[in-house]
Amino acid sequence: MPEQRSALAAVYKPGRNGAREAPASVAIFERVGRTLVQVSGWPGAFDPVCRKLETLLNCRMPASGLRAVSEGVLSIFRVGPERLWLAGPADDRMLQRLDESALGHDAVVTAIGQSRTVVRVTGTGARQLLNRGLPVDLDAAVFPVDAFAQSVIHHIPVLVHRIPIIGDDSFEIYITSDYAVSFWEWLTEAAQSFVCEIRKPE
Amino acid sequence: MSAQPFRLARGGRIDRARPLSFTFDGRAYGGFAGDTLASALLANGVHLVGRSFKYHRPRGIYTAGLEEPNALVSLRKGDRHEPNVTATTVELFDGLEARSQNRWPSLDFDLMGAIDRFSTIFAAGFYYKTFMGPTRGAWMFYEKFIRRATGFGDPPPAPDPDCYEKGHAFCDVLVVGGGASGLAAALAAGRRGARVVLAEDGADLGGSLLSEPFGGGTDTWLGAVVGELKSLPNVRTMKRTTVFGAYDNRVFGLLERVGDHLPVPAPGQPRQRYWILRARQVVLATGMLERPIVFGNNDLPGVMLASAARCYANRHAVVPGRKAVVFTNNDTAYDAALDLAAAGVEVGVVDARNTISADLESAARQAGIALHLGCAVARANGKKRVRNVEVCAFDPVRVEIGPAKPALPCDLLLVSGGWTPTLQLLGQRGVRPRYDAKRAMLIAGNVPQGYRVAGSASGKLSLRQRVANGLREGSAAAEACGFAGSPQPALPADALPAERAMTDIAPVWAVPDPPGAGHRKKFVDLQHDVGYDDIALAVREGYESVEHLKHYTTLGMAIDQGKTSSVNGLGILAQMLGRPIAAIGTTTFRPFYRPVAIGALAGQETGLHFKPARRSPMHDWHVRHGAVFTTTGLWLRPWYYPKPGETARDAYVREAAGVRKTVGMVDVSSLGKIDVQGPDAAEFLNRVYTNAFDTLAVGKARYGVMLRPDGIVADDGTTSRLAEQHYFMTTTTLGAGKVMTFLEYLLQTAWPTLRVQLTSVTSQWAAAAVAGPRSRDLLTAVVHDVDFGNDAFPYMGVRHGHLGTIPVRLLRVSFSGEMAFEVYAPAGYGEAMWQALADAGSTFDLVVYGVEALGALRVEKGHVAGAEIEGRTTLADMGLARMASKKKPFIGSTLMQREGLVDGDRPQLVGLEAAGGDVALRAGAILCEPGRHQGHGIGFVSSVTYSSALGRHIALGFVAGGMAREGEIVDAIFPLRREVTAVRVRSPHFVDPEGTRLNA
Repeated sequence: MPEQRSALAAVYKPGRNGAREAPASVAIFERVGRTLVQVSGWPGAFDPVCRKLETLLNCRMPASGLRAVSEGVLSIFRVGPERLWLAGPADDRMLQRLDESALGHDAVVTAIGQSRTVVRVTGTGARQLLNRGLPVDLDAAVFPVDAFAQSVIHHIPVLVHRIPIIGDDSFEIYITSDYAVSFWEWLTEAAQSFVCEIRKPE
Repeated sequence: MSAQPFRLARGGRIDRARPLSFTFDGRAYGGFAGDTLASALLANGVHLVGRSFKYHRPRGIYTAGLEEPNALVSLRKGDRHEPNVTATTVELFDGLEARSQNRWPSLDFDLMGAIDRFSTIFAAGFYYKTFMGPTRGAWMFYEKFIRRATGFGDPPPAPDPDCYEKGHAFCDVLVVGGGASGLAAALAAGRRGARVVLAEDGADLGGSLLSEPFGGGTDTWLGAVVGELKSLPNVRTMKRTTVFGAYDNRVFGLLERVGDHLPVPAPGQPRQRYWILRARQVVLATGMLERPIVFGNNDLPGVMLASAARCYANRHAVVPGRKAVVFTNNDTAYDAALDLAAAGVEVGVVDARNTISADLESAARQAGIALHLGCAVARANGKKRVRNVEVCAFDPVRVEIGPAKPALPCDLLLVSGGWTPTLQLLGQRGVRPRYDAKRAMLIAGNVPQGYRVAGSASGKLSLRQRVANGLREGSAAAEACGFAGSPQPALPADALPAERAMTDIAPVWAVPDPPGAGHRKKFVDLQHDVGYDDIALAVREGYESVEHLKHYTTLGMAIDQGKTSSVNGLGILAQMLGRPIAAIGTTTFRPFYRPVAIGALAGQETGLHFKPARRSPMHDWHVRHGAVFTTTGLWLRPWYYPKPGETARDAYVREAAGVRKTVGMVDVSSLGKIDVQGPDAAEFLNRVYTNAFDTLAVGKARYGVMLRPDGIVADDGTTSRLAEQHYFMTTTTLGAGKVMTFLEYLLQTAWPTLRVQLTSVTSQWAAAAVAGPRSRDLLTAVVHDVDFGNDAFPYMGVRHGHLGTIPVRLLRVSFSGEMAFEVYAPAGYGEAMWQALADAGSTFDLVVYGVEALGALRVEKGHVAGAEIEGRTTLADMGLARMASKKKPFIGSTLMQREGLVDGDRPQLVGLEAAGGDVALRAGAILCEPGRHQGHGIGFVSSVTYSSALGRHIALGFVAGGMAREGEIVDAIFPLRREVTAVRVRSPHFVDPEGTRLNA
C-alpha cells in the first residue's frame, strides 16, 4: 500500500509562527497514523454491543456524550445516543478487526478514519487560540480531561477533545478532511498573535 | 511646538518623563504619556476642534469620555485613516496625526458656516419636506450635495492594512466597568472563587476615581483593590475593552482595542479584537454620565461638562481655562469648582438652587468661589470661544427666568445638570428605565435574571455607597454561580475618605430666554445639531411619542445614542406636553453602545478566510496540473485544465471531445456519500426514493430520485447495495447536506422504529469518474482483480478490487452517456489512485476533464442536474414519471398528484437548439410563443453548452407541452441583453439516445 497522504501535505510547514521572539506559548501539529471507527446500534440493544467492545478492547465505554474515555492509545467518544467513535492507532489490530462478526448483528461498523484530520494544539495558549474560533468554554473546571465537544470553528465542523496530558492544556481537533486545509490556514493565522511552534507531524 | 500653557506644573496621572509630539490640522503640539488627544489639545489652549454636523458651528471639547458629542476627529493618514474618533478617548502617542472634520477650507474659517445664518429653514424635517420631489428619484440627485455640505469624516481611501481578531470568552461573573463599584464587585466575586472578567473601557482602572486629586485617599484604596485583583488568578481584567452589546442568554459583544493606542499594532498583534463573551451572571457597574443643561449658545467652545474639567485638571494636569463659571443644579459640580480653584483658576458658581448645605457653602467661600444661588446661565456669548455668560434669577420649579444681570466674563463655562446612569446595555435587553423624580434621573427598571446593577449605574452618588453596593452585588453574583460561603475580608469601603452630605438636585432641562433679550440657539443633541426649537417644532407637528420625536429630529440617534441628550430631550418634551416625565416613556437602546469597526466584527473572516473551502483529496494534483477552479457550494472543483493558449471554451470543448473519443477522468469526490446500514435499510430507501430498492441485488446500483414531501424533486443519485443490509448512497454535491439532514430527520421523527444507521462518508472516499470508449481498457490495465467484461461487470454493477495495492470500490454508472465507471478509494489514497490512473491513461489518450466538460457531456446526453432540479420541477416535468413506483408509497407520493403538479401544460424537459444557424443560447432565457413575448412565457432554458459531439450549441429547457412540441419553433428571450433567438424543440437526448455507447 502506498503511504496515506495527509490532507495538509501542501500547506504544512514546521517552524515558528508569529513574529515575537519568546518561548512558544502554543504548539500545533498534525497527528498521523491514527484511525477512527464508528460503531452504532439501536435503542435498547446498544448496551450489549458496548459490553462486547469493552471485552474486545479491554476498555470501558463512555456512558455520556460529554466525556470520552481514554485508555492507553485509545480514545472513545459517545457521539450519539447509540453511536461511538473509537480513535486509535491505524495499525491497531483490534480496531481493524471490528466488524459485525466480532460485535454481532446489532452493531453497525463504519470506517471513517480517512474522513478526519487530527490536529493537536498544546501549550499555555492552547485554550485561547482555540477560543479564537471555538464557542466552547475550555476552562479545565468545566472542560476537564477527556471532555469533548462537537462544534464548529470558522464554520468548519470539529470535534474537540481535551486529551489526558499532564501539564499544559492539550487538545486534539478532529476535522473533516476536506476542510483540513482551510482549518489549518485559519489556525496558523489565528496563531500569529501567539508565539507558536508548528511541530512535525507526530 | 507650543509650550502647553494650560498644563499645571505638578499633579496629574501623566508621565512627565515621556513627552510626546503630535499634530492637529498639521500644526505640531506637545503632550505627555497619559494624555488623551483632548487633554493634550486643551493643555495647548486648543478649544476649537470641530464644526457641527449640520450648521457648521464652531465646537469645542465638551466631555472627557466616550460620550463626547463634539470633538470628532480623523486620525492617522493613508490606509490607516480613521474618521469620527472622539478626541476624548484617543490615547496620545508620539507622532499622532489628527485632523478636524466637516469644514472647508479650514477649521478656523469654514465657509460652510454660512449655513448657520439660514438655520431657521434647516429645522427638523427640512430634508424630508424639501428634497422628496419633484420625481421619485430626486432624492438620489440631492443626496450627494447634502452629503458634501453636512456630515462627519470621510472613509479611508484603501483597505485597512491592519488585522482584526475574534474570540470567544467565558466567565462566571462579567463585571462591566472598572470604576469604584466595578472594582468592588470584581473583588467580591473574585475572592469567592468565581471566574471573573472585569471589562473596562479605558486604559486604566478606576473610572471616576481617576478624576480625584492625585495622591489622595481614594488613590490608596484604588491601589489596594487593583493590587488584590491582580493577585487573583481567577480574575481577568480586560482594559481598553468596551462591552458594546448585550444579547440573549447573557451573551455580550466586547471590543478590545489592542493596538489603537499605538502608531501601528505590535508585530503579529491585531488592531482590535472582537470578543463574544458568555457569562452566567453580569454586574453592570457602568457608571453615570453627567448631563448638560440647555441654554442659549450652549455649544460654544469653552462650554464643558463640570466633571470633564475636573478630570482634565486632576488626571491630566490641565486647566481648560483661567476664569471659569460653573453652572449647576446639584452638589457634584462643586467638586470641579473646588479643584479648579485649588489649581489657580478663578471660579464662580451659578446654582439654580436657592440653598446649598452650609458645609458646601463654607468650602466654596473659603476657596474664594463667588456663589450665585437661585440663578441660571441664560446664554453664553462669544464667537469661537465663550467670552462671558449672562446670568439671570431663575426659578427651576416654575421654569421662570428674571431679567439678565451684568454678564460674567469667563473663558470656561462648566455645566452640570445632574447625572444619567448608563443603562444602555439593560436597554438593549428590553428593560425600560423608570424616572426617579427625587434624584432627577432614569434608573433601572426590572432587571433581567442574571443581571445586577451596581454603583452609580444604580443611581448612587456617594462613593462609599457605590463601593458597598459593588461589593454586595459582586458577592451575590458569585453566590448565584455557586461560589458561596467563603469568608469575606473587611469591606474596603471603610477605607475611603469621608463625604459631605448632599442637598437635593433641582431639575433643570432648559433655561428660557431672558425677557426682552431675544433668542439664541439652544442645543439638546450637540452631535446632530438638534435644538430646543426642533423639539418644539416636532411637538407642534404632532410628534408627541418620544420615538417619533427621536426619528423626526434625529435626537439621540446614530453613534451618539443620546448619551448626553436623551434625558434632556425627555425633560423638554415633558415640559412642552405638560406631562410628567414618567408618562413620556423612553426610547429604545440598541447595540452598539459605542461605534465598532466593521473590521473588528469581521475579524479574520476576510480574504482567504472569508469562508472555508472544501478540497478533494486530489486537489493538489489538480493545482500542479494547472486546473482552473470553480466553486460548487464550498467545494473547490476543477473547472477545466487549459493548455497553453487555450481559452476556457477551448479547454472544455477539447476535454469533452476527448471523453467521447477515447477516455476521460474527472474528480467526483465532492459527490455526497451516505452509508446506509441496518436491517431496515431497504425499507428505508423504499420510502425515501420514488423507485424500489428492496429489489436491488447485492452488487448492483440503481439511479434514484427523492422527492420533497410536497412532491417536488429534491435530489438524485445512485445507490449501491454492498451487502444485504448495507447500501452506499450518492447525492449531488450541493444536495449532500440537505439530503443527509432530511434523512436523519425522517429517521428520528417519522420512523424512529426503523433500524437504520446513516453516516456521511463524503470525506472518507475519494472518487474518480472514468468515462469513454476506452474506460474499460484503462481500468483493466490498473485493476487486475476485477473482470470488466460486460457480462461480469454490467452497466449498474458494483465491484470491489485493488488498484495496485489500493482497495477500490467500482461502480459502472454513467453521467456522460459513455461507458463509464466511478472508482472510489479511501481518501488518504485518493491522489495515489488518481496518479495511477493518470499514468496508465497516457497509453489510452486519457484526458483529464473538469466540471465544465462534465456539464457539456451530461447536457448532450440529456441528464438532469442542479439547473433542472431547481426546486420547482416534478418527476414528470423531467420525463422521469416512470420512476414513480405505483406499488409503494414514498415521500412525496401523495402530494406529487396534486392538480397543479399533474397539469399537462406544465413545462417539461426538452432539448433546444437554435433554429436559424448556430447561436449560443443563454441559460435563464424565457421561452415564448413566436412573437408573443409577454408574461412568464411558456418555459425557460435551464442549461446550455457547446456540443463538441454535434459541433453546435445546444440547450436543455422546459417548455409547456414538452415533447409534444418536438420540431416546433419557439422564441428564447433574454431581456437583460434584449436578445431574441428562435429555437427548435427537440429530444433532450442529443447523443446516443439508444444507449449503445453506455452499454458497449
